[in-house]
Amino acid sequence: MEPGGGGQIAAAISGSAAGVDRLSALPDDLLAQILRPLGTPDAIRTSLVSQRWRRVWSLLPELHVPSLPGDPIRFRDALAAHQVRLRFLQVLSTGGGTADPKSISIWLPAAAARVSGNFALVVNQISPAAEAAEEEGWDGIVDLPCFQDATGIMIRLGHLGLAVPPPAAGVFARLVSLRLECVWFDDPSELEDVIASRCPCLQHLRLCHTLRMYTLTVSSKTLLKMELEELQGVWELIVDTPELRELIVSRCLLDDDPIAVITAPRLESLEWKYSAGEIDESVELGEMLHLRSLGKLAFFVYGLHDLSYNRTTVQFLQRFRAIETLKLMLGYLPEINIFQYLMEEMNVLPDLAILHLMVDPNGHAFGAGTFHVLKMCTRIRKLILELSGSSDLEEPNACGTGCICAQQTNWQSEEFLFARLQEVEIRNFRGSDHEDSVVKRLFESATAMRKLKVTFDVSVTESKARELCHMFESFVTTPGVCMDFRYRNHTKV
Amino acid sequence: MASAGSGDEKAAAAAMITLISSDNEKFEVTEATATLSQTIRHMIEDGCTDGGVPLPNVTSKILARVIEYCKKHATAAAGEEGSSSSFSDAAFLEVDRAFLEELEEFDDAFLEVDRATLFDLILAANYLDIKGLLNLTCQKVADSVKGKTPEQIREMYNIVNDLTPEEEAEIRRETQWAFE
Repeated sequence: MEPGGGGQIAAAISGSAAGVDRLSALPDDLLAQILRPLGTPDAIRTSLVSQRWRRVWSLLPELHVPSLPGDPIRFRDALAAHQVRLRFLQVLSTGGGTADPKSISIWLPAAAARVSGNFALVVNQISPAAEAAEEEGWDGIVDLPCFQDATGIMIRLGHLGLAVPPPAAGVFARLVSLRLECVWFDDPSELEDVIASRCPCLQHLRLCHTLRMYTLTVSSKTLLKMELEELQGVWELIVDTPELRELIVSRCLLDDDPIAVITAPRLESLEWKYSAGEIDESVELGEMLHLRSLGKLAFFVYGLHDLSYNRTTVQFLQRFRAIETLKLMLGYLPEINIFQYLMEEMNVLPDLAILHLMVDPNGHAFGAGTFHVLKMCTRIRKLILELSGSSDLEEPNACGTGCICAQQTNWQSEEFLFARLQEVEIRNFRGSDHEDSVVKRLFESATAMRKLKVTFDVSVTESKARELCHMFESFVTTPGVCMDFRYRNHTKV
Repeated sequence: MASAGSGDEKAAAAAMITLISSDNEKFEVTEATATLSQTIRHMIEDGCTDGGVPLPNVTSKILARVIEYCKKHATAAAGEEGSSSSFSDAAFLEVDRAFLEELEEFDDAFLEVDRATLFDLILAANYLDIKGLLNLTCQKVADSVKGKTPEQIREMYNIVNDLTPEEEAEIRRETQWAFE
């Protein structure tokens, strides 16, 4: 301790440790713990502090690299030089760097050797190499090594190709979750083989925005959840998954007369969103005795007779006798005067407990369509009526006089009774005349309602919200209903 | 210490443990406070706390601070258990939030110490295996070096630069990939 001074000065000096380097004296694991919250670049920058600090960052169990390494060899060497298992390794393209397949293929094996948890490689922009490949023929393929220890892999590749490792490379022994996005496969059957026989504990598979995959067969004894979204150009989809609980197929089948054969006997939740355009999907669903939730089926209220969209929806609805929850979307085109009213084509619904009805009225009167659906499920316990919000769209103009949407008026005088409906939730309510009349009619028939929750559209101001609350209170005729009104960011009115 | 590990709350509350600092000062604490330290928890489980727990690596000054932290956080842990078993009413959530805010204020005030004490706390938290205290104190050091250049870090913590210019250049080349 410094000589002289009084007690106070001595205390002050000992406070600043008077030249002693207490930080560097900490054991390795504590220094690593201090570096952990800094973010990977900042942590690595400390390697320039002193000899002691040179290798501390390499003890970190998580690395987040914000841009694709421009020098893949040094990155590979840095990964290979250390032993600590990585429970997380993430390489993003947000910080820059070009997605060159050759360069990525250089460091990827070193990553595979280190990762024992989750690996993520995310290239968001379309790679220039992918564009060049498009012009020059099929090149631009990233070689995926075998991640023998990783539990999760997420790869989004900016439309580069991905080649899966050959069987001799080994097994993805601990892989639970595999997500591949914006990639194409030179030979999709190799991927099918990896999923079927070299991922012994895979539970979650997500394929999204894959290109040039014309047929896809997913066969897995372990999969619990599968998401297939925008697999562009698939005309034959075969799913054989005895344990699958949740399946999402969203706009996958895009070619002529596509076929889907789904065998998933333990499925509990199915979401099916069809392809855009006039495609006749042939969907074969095997026995699904445990299905509880069926989702996002769409139906156009006005259109040409025998619209393929509607036909597929009706097929799905006829397929199940009873399910717990149905999500159904009613769509209206802006101009409908040249079309026919199609609701009569929907003539049966499964027995339901919960209906989540999404309505996109585009300014039209939507009471007829809504009540057509409701009168087929009078035994529901809960109703979620979700109107299309105005968050990202201009408020649609009302369709004006003479529009054929005004011709369907039966629902205004018809008797309805929803004797079991206890809970009603209304989303994105704005208070248009069409909305008011639907809600009024609904409340008259919902004699057992106990609970009401209304979320107003973002365009609704506080004073308007108050006004609408009073209107709702006047509509609700049964006493003792618990009401909850929210506007903007779920603020209570 | 027949009551250790039993579900009888009164007995557990009454169970006291004696902690002995490196300078031989004795501290009586409840078992709930002491067992925030995994090291002490294991000693209790092994039944070797009779006659007090000697902590030869911790001075009385630091042990007093550590106990202060553990007391506060032991009550917090007990409060959390209580509220999760009851229904999560809005009023309860409100109370929880107020309690968490109070705890945060306590932590902030607790960290108002000189550097030497901070390092002593880190070492004590590590030795006693008190996760919350270790995270809190390490985060404090992390915050102080965040966004700083190597030179600034050296100055702040009296670190001598023993890297040759050649070594510095080599490190820069080796790690360039992280800064592109």
